[in-house]
Amino acid sequence: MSAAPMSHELFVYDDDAAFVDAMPPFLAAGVEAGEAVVAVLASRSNELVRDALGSTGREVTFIAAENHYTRPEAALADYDASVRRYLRDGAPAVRLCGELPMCSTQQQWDEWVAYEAILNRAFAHHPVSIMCVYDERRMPASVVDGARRCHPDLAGGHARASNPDYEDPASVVSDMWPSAAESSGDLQELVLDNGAVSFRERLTAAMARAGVADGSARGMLVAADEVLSNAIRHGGGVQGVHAGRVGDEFLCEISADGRWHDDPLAGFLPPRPDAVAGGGLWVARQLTRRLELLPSPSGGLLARLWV
Amino acid sequence: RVNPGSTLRLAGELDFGCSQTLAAVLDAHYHGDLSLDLADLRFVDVAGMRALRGRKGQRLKILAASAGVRQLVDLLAWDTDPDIEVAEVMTA
Repeated sequence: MSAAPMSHELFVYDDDAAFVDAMPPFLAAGVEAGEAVVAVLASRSNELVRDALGSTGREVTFIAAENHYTRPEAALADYDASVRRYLRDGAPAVRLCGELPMCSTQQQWDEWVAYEAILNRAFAHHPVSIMCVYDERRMPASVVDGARRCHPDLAGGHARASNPDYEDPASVVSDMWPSAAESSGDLQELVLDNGAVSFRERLTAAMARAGVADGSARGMLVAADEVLSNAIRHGGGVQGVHAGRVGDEFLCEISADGRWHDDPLAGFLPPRPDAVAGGGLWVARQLTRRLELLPSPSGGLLARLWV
Repeated sequence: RVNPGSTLRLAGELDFGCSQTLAAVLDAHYHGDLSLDLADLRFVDVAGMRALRGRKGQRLKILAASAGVRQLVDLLAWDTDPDIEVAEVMTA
């Protein structure tokens, strides 16, 4: 099997003719080569592509972007699983085009720009070609500018050129991933006197008292255990744990000694199938609504897990 | 050495605290295909899952995987590993 490197190109356009000129041929070339081809676009864009491709469109899987792009963590896991399954089932490569969902807040837009940066590292080991489309008529200019930092290549017409504005993914994520929100919940201390087993019992009891739904509670239990595991094995141990309800959500805060993580991409990269270690923070991000990793006032690290 | 045809049934909580102990036991006694029944496992984390993986190239069959185990299998990219087979808990 050929191991073509990943490509990730940006296509910015402001009229339908330019879109129809660029996107369908990119997908058709994938169909021609026997690749798995997936379009994850706004409904209107999907229709434009379908019309332009004609019968070739039957070989393309169309997904509505608004259903796929629920939150960046989930989109990363979905893409990773889909790509691995296509390759396992014999596709020589996977070709994707994607279009971000419309967001209602700047924070959501920023998260998706960070996601675009993360893709470069998340799929670097797979033969995947991705073309991301940005309709300047619909997307805020700041988001298109952000996207210019995240794509190694620029698509234009029928040629691909390297992008002079491309930046290291870690620095983009560091800039764009939202910092933690202030919280004003009534958190209770969970006494940590007897190791991980009793920690999990106490967290389970706290979640039951707070009425956390079963599925969320199971996810939180594993996620908090992964953070504890990282703090103990790679840091200087755990200083304290506080947990409780904040509004409609449940928050678990774990403060740890040592700076056991300072990589902005920590937990955002899917584990490689042949990995023999790691993956705990990836799982923690997947099983919670949000994992926040912040410097703590005492010079260590504060992990906040939300379900 | 354990007969390769037999299944090992694990019970309790398998976490980062005991995962290396289990990995060492498996490494010492199971050199053929690994067949593990997880029906009685109340909790498992990533380090625990990795302890089940055995040595490179060793086949792993997981029986009675809970929804949580299934989720970890997918998140660790084991679902597309040809050497790993997962049979889920039958639900009525």
